Amino acid sequence: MPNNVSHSHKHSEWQLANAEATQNKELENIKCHLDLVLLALEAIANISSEAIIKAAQDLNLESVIGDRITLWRLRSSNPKRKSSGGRKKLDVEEARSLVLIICYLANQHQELLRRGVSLLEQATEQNISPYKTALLGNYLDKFINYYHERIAEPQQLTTESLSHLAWKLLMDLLFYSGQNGHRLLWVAIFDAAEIK
Amino acid sequence: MPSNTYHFTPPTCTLEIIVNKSLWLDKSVDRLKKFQFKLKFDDPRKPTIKQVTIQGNQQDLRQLQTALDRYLKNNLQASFRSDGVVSNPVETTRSPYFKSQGLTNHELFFGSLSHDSDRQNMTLGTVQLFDLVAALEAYQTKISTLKDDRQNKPERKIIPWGVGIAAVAIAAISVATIFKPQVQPEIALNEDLPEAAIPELSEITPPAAPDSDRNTLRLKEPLASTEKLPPPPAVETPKPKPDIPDPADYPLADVGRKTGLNDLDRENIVGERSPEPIEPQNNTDTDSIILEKPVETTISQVKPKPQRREINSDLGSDLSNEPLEATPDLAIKNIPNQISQIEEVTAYFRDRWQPPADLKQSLEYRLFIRTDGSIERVVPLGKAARLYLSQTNIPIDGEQFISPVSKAESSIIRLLLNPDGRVQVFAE
Repeated sequence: MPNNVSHSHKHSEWQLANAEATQNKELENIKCHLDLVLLALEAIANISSEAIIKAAQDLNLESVIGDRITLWRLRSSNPKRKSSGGRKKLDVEEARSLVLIICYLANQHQELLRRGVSLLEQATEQNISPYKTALLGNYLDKFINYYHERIAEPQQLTTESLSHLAWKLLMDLLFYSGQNGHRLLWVAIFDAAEIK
Repeated sequence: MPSNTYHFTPPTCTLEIIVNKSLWLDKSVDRLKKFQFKLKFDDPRKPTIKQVTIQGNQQDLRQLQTALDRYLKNNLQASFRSDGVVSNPVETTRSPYFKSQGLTNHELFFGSLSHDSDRQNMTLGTVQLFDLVAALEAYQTKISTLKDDRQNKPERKIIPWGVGIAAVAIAAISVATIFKPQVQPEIALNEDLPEAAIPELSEITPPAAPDSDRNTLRLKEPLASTEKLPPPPAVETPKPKPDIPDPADYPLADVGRKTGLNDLDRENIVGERSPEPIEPQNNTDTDSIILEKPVETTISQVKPKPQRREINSDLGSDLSNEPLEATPDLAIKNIPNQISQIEEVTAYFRDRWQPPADLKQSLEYRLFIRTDGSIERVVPLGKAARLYLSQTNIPIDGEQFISPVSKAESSIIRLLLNPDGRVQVFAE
């Protein structure tokens, strides 16, 4: 009987440890995903750190992101970041705040996002390279620059796949700018985190 | 057969929900579940021949919504996968479904949905897909608002048509008899009000996208749990407080203020004076019962700011010196035969005015009425009024909407549709 209890205790401990590991892994994935979406938003709408902090204030999230240092540490929590090391943990509350801020800012720039996606559609339909238009060209340049500057992935993406990622994130941002954007982003990052 | 139609009109598609009014009388059915819908993909950038219309009932719309949700979730997740490819599940059922097509396009397979296309599928661009999502979200918000209203509103007894008509007739005669001698002396006073006192609304910023999320967060739940975390609450987009006064305040409401009457008082007076439903069908129209209740904004983290501008202190002190005589508001100070006109317009819109959930300010229109009782011209006063014109149910196609009027009568009506569901009508 005591053996059974001990075994059961060990089993539950193992389950807890396993659950914690899974949770940490999932959180790491979430950090990467959110950082990537924010990167795209910065590239298309020239979002500055001040704008992000202002958005946090507007949403009463100063306790999570109150100043540039907190923001930097929060974004550095992406394990794939070159500057990763200042901060290792991102909790659910912080993830939630970032989701809200991203969707809030996307909503503020919805017209711009819509224009960008319309241009992308036109270019694709006419077999023209999207980056030949000023808006999309600038966006792509910035996105690729930011990506190379900040993200250090072991398997470097080719320029082609990076461009594809940039266009895809631009279209995603349009959906995140909608009324239920926060819900869509939340579900997408969590489900994607589970997949990995 | 009488019906209520709700329109949801993002730029590239139009969703129409048609609720049969006869169902409102049938308590055995869930009225909100019995409707027809029509979804027109009327993207102005596409040639008319490529514009497709889908229609069906509530069940069909739900199928479409499910297919869209599933596809969208899959599509958005793809950005975070290492391959970045949207996986298209093999569909074997007759339900509608979506498939990604290239970088920016999405194919909608109609399945069992009725459509007027000669193909079994159509291609939507990403902007069109976004608009479809927006239309369905707006529809969901509307439905939940109506459901909330219905739950909060006590059931009213339905008065038989005959009794209703008689009651309306008696009330109308009583009102005309009682108020006729009293209102005439006020006419000259009201006509002296300067036109310039009407505020310029063209600068009002249209309301930002609303938030309708009613879920609350349970943040401490571990990620590894089998249950997924609920999404975060809605982003309450702080809207700048309009610096321009509510049109209800000026110029007519000033009279009410000076007389010590607030909005509620004014409404009560108008309400007392107007024998509620003028048209016989209004007596049985429970639709108006549901919609009479002010539509409450959905859950938000921040309480909505009052839009009505405070009276400044100087004005307040000036007004405090005014004698507080309870003279009726301008709406009832017009010539008696205008009363019926005003009442008819009030009754008409009281039945039909369903404030959009995202509306935060009053909409003001000037209606030019033809002698046959139809509307000759509608002049939206302000940007918001222009934006929401299609959702006001103002009959702009020339159909008669009030009784014919004689040429001697004033044919200009000012209509105020408030976000809380109130309708105010003034003669000009």
